[in-house]
Amino acid sequence: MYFSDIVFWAVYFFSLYVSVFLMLTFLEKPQDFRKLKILPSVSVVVPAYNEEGSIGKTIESLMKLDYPKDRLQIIVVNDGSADNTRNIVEQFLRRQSPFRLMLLNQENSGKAAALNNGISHAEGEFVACLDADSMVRPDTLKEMVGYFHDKKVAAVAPVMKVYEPKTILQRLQALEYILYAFLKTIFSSMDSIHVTPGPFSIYRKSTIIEIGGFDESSIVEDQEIGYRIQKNQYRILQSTTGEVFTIAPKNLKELYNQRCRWFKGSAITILKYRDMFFNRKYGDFGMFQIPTLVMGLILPFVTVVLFFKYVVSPIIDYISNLYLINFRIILPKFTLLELQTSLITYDFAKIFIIAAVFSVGIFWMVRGHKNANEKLSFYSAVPLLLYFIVYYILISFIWVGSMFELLVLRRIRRW
Amino acid sequence: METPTPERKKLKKDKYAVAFIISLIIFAFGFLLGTVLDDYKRSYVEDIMKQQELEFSSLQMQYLYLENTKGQEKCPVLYQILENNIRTLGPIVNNMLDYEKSKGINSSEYTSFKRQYLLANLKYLFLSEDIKKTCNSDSATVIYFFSNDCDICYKSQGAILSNLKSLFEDKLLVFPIDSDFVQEPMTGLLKNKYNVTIYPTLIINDQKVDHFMSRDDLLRTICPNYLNRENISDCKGYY
Repeated sequence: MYFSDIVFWAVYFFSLYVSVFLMLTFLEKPQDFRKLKILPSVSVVVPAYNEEGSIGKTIESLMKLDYPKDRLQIIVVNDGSADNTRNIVEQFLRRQSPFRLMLLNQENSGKAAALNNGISHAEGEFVACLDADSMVRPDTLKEMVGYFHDKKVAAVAPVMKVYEPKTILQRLQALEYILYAFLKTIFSSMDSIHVTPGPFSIYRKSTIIEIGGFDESSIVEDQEIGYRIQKNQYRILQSTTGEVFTIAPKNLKELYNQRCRWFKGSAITILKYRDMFFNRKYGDFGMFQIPTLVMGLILPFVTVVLFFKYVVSPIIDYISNLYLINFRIILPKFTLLELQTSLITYDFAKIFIIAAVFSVGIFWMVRGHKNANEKLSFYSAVPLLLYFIVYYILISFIWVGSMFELLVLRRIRRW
Repeated sequence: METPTPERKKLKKDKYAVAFIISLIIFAFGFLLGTVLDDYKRSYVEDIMKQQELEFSSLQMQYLYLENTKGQEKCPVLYQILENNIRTLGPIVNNMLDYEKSKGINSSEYTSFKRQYLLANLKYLFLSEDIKKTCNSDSATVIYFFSNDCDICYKSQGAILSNLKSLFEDKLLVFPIDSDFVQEPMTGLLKNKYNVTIYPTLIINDQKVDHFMSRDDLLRTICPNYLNRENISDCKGYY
């Protein structure tokens, strides 16, 4: 047994365990959701920093919300934008409309500070935070508030989808979001959601104020607050129908910047809440979710190493061999016996595993699409999954970059 | 400020255990499948090896029989038999050796198997020399000494030789000799005979070259050996 084999088996067993565990959870009875007879009052806080391109659309999508106008307040917090953001919002203010729209201008001090500023002016019982690059559907808010029937529920997360995916990278992210939304419904039923994403998560205002509001020093305030809600033994639920559309990074550079921030933030946040790691007091969140997230920070490294060992180095060997034979390839004539014996060089145990992992992947994919009300034919699932493997390797390389920045360059923030 | 700590959902310990057991079952199933197939593979390879031994005894019998037939009439038949054997035996046994190696096995079984292969190969080598003398056959022979410590052997020299082998087919006979395989005395005897100390060393029709040879170098050395070289298109410009 080589060391790489042991790593391979360990990673496999771990992934298998996580999949089986999630599958068992999935088979349990689904979370409860009730339609509320009386809709509560909600304030939507929109932090905006240089968002002249999308802020108008965002506000318009909020105005189209199917919700009683007297119970809806919209607060745009202009975080010292240098562009036209302020003027655009002021144009909305000048219009006659039944909406309570408010504009707060502050000096540039970060998204978390903008959110806290907005919350301090919020009149609603609940606060919805909406990134200025995201749009909601008219029914989203109504669909989501029903989850607050339990007093312990501090936040409800939306179903995030990519807004009009165009580039191949955006399409892959769209797929990633669909899969992740499905996983989050499972996490939700274990009370193990660790992030309330910036695009339209809704919070119970009193609880957020009680636990201290958003952490202004964190680079991933939407993850940090998720951990803090869990730490304080409140619940976060995942909505299955409240959809929000967000603009995904369209090229590699944007994706790198976004993921770099997520990875670094994730590492820092886990470290901050390390006492919850394998801590029974925090239920499945401590015993299952945080250990899985920690593994999620280690796996990309393993992926990169295995990628070099099993893909890059054979390709390099192959090309250098081609060079040695002056690129004159002659296909050897195989006899039947030779083909048969070449089968013995395959490792069937590993092939079995890869097949098993692949079928689990197909299941998630089909189930995830059903969950997100997206169309997927069974035959397109296989090529999608193959693309997704390439995407995962790409993300793993971004991870290497982010860890390099964090641990070697000691660079936490990059704007 | 004292905040009431709400109760969290109870941890379901059973689920952790059940998930572990299910994973273990799937894991064990995969492992078992691998082991069963390994056993199957092993017996399969043993069968092939026995078959090859039989082929070789048959070849010797045929050779003895053909001794009585006159002169060069036996040559094409003999040559065909030899080539067929080498062509099937080589890749098959190499597959087996690769497989054993990938498992990190270095058992006595593996050693004796390798030894049998080496001996079979040598028998073919001597036969081929014999045939060349009797039949004036238009073929070249390369004895290729390699070693595990020599990176260029595995990665480069071997690849070039296989490429040329595919190119010339039965006009080129390549006999690879693993110099580290001291368990078989014949290895030492051959190394002494050709005074091999450096790897790779190639013996091309009794001409010794003790350094790495590029594809062009090899063609330049091999091609002049062919009587019929003008008609071999791949040899153009190399003699």
